[in-house]
Amino acid sequence: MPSYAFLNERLVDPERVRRKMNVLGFPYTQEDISALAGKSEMDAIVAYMQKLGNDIPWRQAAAQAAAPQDLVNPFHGDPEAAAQGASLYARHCAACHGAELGGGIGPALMPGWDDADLFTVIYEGIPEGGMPGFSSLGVERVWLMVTFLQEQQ
Amino acid sequence: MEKPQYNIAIVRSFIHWSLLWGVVSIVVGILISFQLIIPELNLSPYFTYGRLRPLHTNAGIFGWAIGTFFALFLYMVQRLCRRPLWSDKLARFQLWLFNLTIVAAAVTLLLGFTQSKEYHELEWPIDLMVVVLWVVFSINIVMTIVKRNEEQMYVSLWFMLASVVGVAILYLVNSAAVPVSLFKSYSAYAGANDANVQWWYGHNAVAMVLTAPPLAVFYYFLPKSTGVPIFSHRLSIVAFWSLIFMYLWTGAHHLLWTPIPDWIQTMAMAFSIMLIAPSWGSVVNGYLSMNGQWRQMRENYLVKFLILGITFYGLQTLQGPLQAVRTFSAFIHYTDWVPGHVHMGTLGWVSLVLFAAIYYLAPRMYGTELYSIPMANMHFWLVLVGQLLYSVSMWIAGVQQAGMWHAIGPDGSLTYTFMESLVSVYPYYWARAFSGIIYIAGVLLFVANLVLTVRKGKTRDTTAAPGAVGAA
Repeated sequence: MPSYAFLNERLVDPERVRRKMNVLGFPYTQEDISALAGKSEMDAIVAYMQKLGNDIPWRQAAAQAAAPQDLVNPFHGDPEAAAQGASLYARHCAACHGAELGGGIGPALMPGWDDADLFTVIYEGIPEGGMPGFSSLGVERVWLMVTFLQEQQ
Repeated sequence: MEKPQYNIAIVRSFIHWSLLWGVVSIVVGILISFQLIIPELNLSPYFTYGRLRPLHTNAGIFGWAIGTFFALFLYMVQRLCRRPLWSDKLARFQLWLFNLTIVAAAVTLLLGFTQSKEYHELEWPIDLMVVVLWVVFSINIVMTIVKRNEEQMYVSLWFMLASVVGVAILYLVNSAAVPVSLFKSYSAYAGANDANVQWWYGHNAVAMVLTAPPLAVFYYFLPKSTGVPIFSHRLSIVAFWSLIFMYLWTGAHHLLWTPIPDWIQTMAMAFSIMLIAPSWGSVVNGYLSMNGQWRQMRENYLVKFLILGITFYGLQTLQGPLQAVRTFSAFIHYTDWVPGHVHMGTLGWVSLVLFAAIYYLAPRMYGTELYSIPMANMHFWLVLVGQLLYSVSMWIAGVQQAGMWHAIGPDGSLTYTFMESLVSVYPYYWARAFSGIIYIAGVLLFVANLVLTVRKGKTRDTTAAPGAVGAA
């Protein structure tokens, strides 16, 4: 992927955003617009991508319907499952939480969680904290990641 | 009868400029094909894939294809109407405005100004330049036809008129936008309506820029090259009117399985299938025109370009309707199958016909015989192999991507990540990048042949019969 670091250096111009929103007829207040001062184009694109597709009611409902009722890890303590979970972690989590679980964009992953809580956080995400849900990977893969994380602790 | 004083200089100028934009388009195309496999070739911000890709398509469609169509329309309209151009000055003005518009398009696209509509990226000030350009061109073509000295209108004139009128309507409707600043505007339509208008435009750009004009060219230059008339003028006219009637309803096949109303999707699908008939009307007419002349495929290099061109048109107009069927679209849409399809049309059909027309004109533009027919044959084989390698590699890549994207586990989760599907098509991306190099080798040979024709070509024997030139 090309480097888009230059977006960090470009600031969003609130006055220009106000003019755009006027043309589009979006009901933003002047305070909403003024709050953009100091934000970069990178911030804008991150905000856009986090929002994109997250407000589709049937999709949220479908993910909840597919979630298991009793949160019991079918792979608990299985070393082979943990190895598979490790490669899933490297692909889906390491970019934010670090290859060694030490954190980065997201926080370091600390011990002390039980299987069910870990599952819920990974499956549903923490929308207000910026962490996406991984329900699209399916229940089984999320349990594999839980197994890996528990083995690390 | 005395021959009117035809304006050939303007034809020559348009061809020279369109050749330049054509080479630019291919070079940029090759660069972005390598960017997909070697991301470091993206030099941000100005030379990233996202900015170069519309430059590639705009230079190809509007620089190379339309530039050459300007040249060929201005050439054909004089002969088919048996009179000089209505206005030489207007044509000269059109030439410079055309080049100015292409340059403005290239600069603004690299600066990141875009309306984000595929094949209609240019921001509103350049939209206005395009409108002026098209009006100037239309006036000259229409007035030359109105004041013509030949009563019967040959089918090429009908296709030219359809293109002139069609592009004007499509472009005006789709460019309706509200400006925010000099280089930022928002579409006048919103959401699903915007998408519907955009693909009504997008697909009919294929009709009015990449189908009607090359058909006008094909119908004129095939009989000129073979020396025998077309099989049936009546069939060509029937095919013309049915093609024009059906094309305008098909745009929504780009939006199957989207929030566009279902009946619009179904109608677009039905009309797309119906389009096979008028498309193949022209293909069959072309083939039957070769009755008793098939030996010319060996002897006349122009005929080889034209007949392979119409063959790719025939294949394109079978594959296209197939893709417009809901079930097949669900499989291959959004995969690399689609650029494979598009490039069969642009590199195969449109460009092969344009190469033939330019070769035919070379002796008439320069007053000398073509420098080398073996070079032209080499050009033919290189672009044919390059184009086939491009399309076939992308079709395989598309089917593989589609298979991986559709694979799901028992709980409905996806078997493969997007990244895994991307890595799996790298070999085909390499093949595609390589195919571009083969293609441009052919095109550079073509340009070199034209340059050598000017420099070293033998003075033309003007007593030869018109059809005999290509057969030499």
